[in-house]
Amino acid sequence: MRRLLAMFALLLAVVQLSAQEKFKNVQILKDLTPAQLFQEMDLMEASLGVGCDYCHVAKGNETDFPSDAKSEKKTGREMIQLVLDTNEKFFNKRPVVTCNTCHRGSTNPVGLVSLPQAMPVFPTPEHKRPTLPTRDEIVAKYSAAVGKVDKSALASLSMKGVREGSDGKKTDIEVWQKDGSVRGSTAEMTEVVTPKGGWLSTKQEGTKAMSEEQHEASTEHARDFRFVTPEDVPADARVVRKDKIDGHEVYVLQSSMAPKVRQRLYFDAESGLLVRRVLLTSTLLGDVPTQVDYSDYRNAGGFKLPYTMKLDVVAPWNNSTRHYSEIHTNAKVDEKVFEMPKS
Amino acid sequence: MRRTVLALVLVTAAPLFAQEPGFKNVQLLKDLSPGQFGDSMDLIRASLGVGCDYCHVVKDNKDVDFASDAKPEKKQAREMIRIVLDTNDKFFNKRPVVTCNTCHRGSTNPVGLVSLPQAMPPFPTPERKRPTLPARDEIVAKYAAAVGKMDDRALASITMKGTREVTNGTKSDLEITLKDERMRSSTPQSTIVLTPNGGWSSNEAGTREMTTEQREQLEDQHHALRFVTPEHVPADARVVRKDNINDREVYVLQSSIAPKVRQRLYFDAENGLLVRRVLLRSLPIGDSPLQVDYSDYRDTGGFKLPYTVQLSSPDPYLSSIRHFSEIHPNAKVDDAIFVMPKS
Repeated sequence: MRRLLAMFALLLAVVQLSAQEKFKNVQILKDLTPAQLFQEMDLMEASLGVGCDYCHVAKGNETDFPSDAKSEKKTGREMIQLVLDTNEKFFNKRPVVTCNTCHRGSTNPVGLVSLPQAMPVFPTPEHKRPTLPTRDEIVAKYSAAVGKVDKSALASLSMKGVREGSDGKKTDIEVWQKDGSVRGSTAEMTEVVTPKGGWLSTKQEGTKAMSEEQHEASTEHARDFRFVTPEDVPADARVVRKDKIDGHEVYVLQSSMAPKVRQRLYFDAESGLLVRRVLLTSTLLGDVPTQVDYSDYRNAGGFKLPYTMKLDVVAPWNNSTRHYSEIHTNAKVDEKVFEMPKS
Repeated sequence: MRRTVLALVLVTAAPLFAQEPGFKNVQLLKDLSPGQFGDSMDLIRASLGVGCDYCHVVKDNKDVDFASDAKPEKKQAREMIRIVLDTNDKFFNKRPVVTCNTCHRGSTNPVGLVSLPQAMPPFPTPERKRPTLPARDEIVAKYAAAVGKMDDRALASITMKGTREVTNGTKSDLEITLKDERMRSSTPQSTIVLTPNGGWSSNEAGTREMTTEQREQLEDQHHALRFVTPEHVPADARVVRKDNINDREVYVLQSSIAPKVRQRLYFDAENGLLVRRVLLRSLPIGDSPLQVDYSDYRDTGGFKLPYTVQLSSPDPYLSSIRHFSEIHPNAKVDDAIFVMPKS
């Protein structure tokens, strides 16, 4: 499990993959970047509820990814072909059918209907679109709930708190954010992502500039933890439905953020607060969701911000929760903290 | 809801259909007997958790125009049947592996998106060990020891009294007489008789011969509800796995008992009793299960029989629980009760 080991994931999850490294023996999912191929692998793992070694030959801590020795890998290829063929033939090439459609987190799909069957609803209730508030009403309520957000005050932030990893391990963290740059550090490491590049510093490995892929992954990760203010809600977001999260009614606003990326924002119908954000990246084998749950809204210099942010992604070892104890808006952040130290 | 009406005949005074209904405008599921066609519709219904009127036009909550293509859901369903048939044809060697339920799982909305948060997958993947299972003969011997010496001839003619509760909760008194291959079942509202040559039913609307579809359906049920004595366990039954029913370990014996019909018998690992029987009838869009659960075994003249028998079908209108208060094996039965009265 190269990926599992690679993702020591102290503060930001980084795909440790050298640019030279080539994937060998890829037969169907070609023409993908390494990050995209990883996304597809993660989708398959999550859809079947398995680890890499379900299909790939693992020896101790080493995984022989190109090997076709396991029959499960052969079946995996056939199933990928089934998904691609079905979407091409029946769904106008849109990735409607995914691994999860049949597998639902298990290696064994359930073809047999369950018994005993309940009485069906008869007559079938008419499908009524619930009356939903408008996008502007929802955003206005969110705005009223958090108070007037000073965007310029959010441009430079310093925060302290605890990061809880997917293994339950808690680490103190400190984050500085200014314009497009972020610096996160723990006692063990420091990671910096700027629009131009990034670097990573650990006690064991010293300080190193990030590869392009690491930078891309870290930029996405930093984006996931950014605050979404009322002003950040896209003007063209559509109110798509009512839903429920933890028994609370929410309104869901959807918008296209980039080619192949959709964003869903979930606002509590009662309190008006933003409680969830989901980014859906469309891939050949279906949408890859990245979910952030916001809670513990508290005052941070005149308006409210969520002091707890829970990130859930398809590869669970990259899940983490941040509990901030301090958030300083309009903080003085020295540009120098983003500069890579000369060794 | 023709099938509904048909099913209600069994318990209420609803009128019977005077004539065999022909199926009109069938485009994909051709070459099926009326019973098989009805079973296929039930599979689709159960897989989506809907009633007939989800796809078929219903007027005034009772008259169904099955032939009409007016509803878009029916058009959609035809495309979906095509996916199932094509996928099995292309990827599963024409075996009906993929069914409606594989994707739908009792809902109109399949779930393509992987669920979040994801749990950590087991790593390394646990080795799949085939549990050591007892032999078929050991399981049957234990069953025989648990129920006592059964006199198969005594079971050839039998009368039973009790109550039957159907899915909507309605209870009726029930009296059943079995003699050789004939069956007579009556409630205060209706009487049904099945013989190898045909069948008839009688209620306040009159007495009529059964249609082919009705007879096929009732024969299936009647067949499923017969007691399976130790002698009836097929000699070639294979012990396929351990399973759990209501948290009790069971051994599953499987055998082919007719072309396109498989039987699974579930024996309690501890007390040896037969607790479930499932008949799987293979249809082009998947297996249609009929499940019978046995409980409340009591002594009946030297051997034990189950006094509670629950029949579960993909059609909830055909499902019922029978609680017998009396079972008399070796009963004196007058052949005249199976003869259709002249009107």
